[in-house]
Amino acid sequence: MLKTQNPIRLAWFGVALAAVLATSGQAMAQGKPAPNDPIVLLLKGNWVPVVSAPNLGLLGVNLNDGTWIVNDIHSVSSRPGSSTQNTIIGKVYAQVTSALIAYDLPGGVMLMQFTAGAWDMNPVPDGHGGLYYQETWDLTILVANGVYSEYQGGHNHMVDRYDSLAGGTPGNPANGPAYESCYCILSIGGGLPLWWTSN
Amino acid sequence: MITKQALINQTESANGHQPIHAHRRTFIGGALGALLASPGRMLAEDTDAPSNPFIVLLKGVYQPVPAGQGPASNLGLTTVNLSSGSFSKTQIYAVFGISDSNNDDNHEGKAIGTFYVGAGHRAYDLPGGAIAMRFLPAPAGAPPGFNGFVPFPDGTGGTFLEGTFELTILEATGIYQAFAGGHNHMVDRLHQLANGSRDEFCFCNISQYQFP
Repeated sequence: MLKTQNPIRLAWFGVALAAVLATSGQAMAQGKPAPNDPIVLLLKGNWVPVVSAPNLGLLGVNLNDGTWIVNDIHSVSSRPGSSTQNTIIGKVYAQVTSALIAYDLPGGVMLMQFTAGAWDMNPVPDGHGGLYYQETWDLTILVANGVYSEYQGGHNHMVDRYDSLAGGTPGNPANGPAYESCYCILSIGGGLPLWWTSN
Repeated sequence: MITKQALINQTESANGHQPIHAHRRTFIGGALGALLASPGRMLAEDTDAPSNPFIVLLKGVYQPVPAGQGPASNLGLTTVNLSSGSFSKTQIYAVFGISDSNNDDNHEGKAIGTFYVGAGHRAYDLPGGAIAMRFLPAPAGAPPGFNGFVPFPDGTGGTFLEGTFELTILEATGIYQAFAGGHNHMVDRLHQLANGSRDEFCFCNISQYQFP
């Protein structure tokens, strides 16, 4: 049972619990991220164009219009090797023609907009012929529903390491394959963003 | 991230040249001794190696470390003096990629180590080793919140101090040796309470590689 005063509940509550429900294929009907708890997620894997995405119910968003790409969302937990460590719990969709990005998570969906950040101007070799782009990004959570509704108006601080596997210009897999490794710290709105002033 | 291209494109179109990087984070900018220093500390070989990066959460009210009362053997660190009287400490919790094997049977939040701050330095006393760091300087023109705090009233007489911080790792012992020369990106919300005490809440993304 989760304790509401647990300082690392963010890992288990916001994500691991979601993972459990993802496995079961059921939306969260009970339990949700506790108020004020940041959620930590990991976007990880190869970006690929969307082939057939679900309708997330986001107004004005059509993930199948050819402008979106997709990647995996992994859980972040407190123990290496635990069953929920680094498991895929959802999908992230990014639009290459806008600053929008959507998270499809068990129990809810979030739509965000990039507000600050830029590609690393001095990428470093990845040792395999590609380049690491390392930077932070800040986003505003425009829409959050389901168990994540309290995060609407909140913030996402990304700590990103983007591997352009063939050294192509980052930002679009059309420029070459890209492997993402991006930690996301999501905080609620209402005056308690976990940084940053772009809110 | 991928849709940042769109953000860049927007900036480019608005300015007619390369994107402005006002928020870019270029702005932003004795193993054995350590093992023996903390009672109950497990041996390095009994502790899982951390992932690269790993994430910990600093949380709790800071307590002063009186002069001469730092941890035994100074955690095996040579670049900081934790008994100088200039340090305060709080607790460290595992978030990602680091063993909390002290709590194998309890995922619910026992601290895995102790965090020390003072004199422009940081030290982490972790299972299997210790790490010492110092702040990187903020470049000229850096926005508020880069290696510094931006205050927000908490509504009860205190203040939330928020900012990101960049640190370089001076030394690392035990299972963290590979992190020497690496980087720590901190995402901090420090709560300065009305009574003057400070309650920490800070994610630390600690990597072997440098982070711009």
